[in-house]
Amino acid sequence: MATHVAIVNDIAQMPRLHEAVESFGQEHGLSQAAIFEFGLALDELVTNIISYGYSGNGGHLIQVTLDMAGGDLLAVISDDGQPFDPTRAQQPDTGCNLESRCVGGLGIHLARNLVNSIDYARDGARNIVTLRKSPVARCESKCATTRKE
Amino acid sequence: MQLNEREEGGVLVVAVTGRVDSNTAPEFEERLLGAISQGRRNIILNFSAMDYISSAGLRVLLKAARELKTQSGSLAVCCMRDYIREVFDLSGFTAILTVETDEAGALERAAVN
Repeated sequence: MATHVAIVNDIAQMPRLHEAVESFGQEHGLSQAAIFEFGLALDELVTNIISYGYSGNGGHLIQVTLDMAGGDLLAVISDDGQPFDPTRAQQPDTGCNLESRCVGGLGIHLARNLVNSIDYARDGARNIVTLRKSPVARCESKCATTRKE
Repeated sequence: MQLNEREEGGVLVVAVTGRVDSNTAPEFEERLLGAISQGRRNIILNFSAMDYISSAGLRVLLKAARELKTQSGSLAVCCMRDYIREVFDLSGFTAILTVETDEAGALERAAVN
């Protein structure tokens, strides 16, 4: 069964999203690493919507649905902020040094890399962002083969 | 998020517990930059009990590392969980920050500085 959570566009509401991801993960027997990666990708995208999606004050509802689909973790974020396609956001340069390192775009860069796919659609006045992720954490598949500690 | 500070041979060791995210990053920044402005030059962050870090927390690390570099100090992070380390790798932070697997190693390196 799908989990629905709706939050107002206020960073202080983020713990509610985090709690929903945690209980969704436990319900589906996900590892701590998988819950972390899925939750972080969602956190970065929703934080970005709250921080940059709206001009002026006033409450807006951001809706998040969590579900399983064909063995994958699925999340759909729907917001009525300015049109923004995270799949077309500029990639940060993660290869430069401490002095010149620019931090913009890091959140979306992480989100893109922590899930298997991100799709974007504009539906009327809403942005619809769909995330798909294999239930095995990136770390688990990678660490098992490259890092033995 | 909880921060527990202790002093070890002139090095400030800060144990970070819980979540460093957009809600807690401002306090993390205040404490870390506050310590630097009070004259701390060598800082180790122990992440063994840290459950979560988002880009908001990573930005604080970058800011603190830059600040310490201009003051000829050092910032090292140690003891990360595998999945946190993965986020450091993805961000390119493993290459620009000093990352140690244990606190003793981080202290040794700080003593050389």
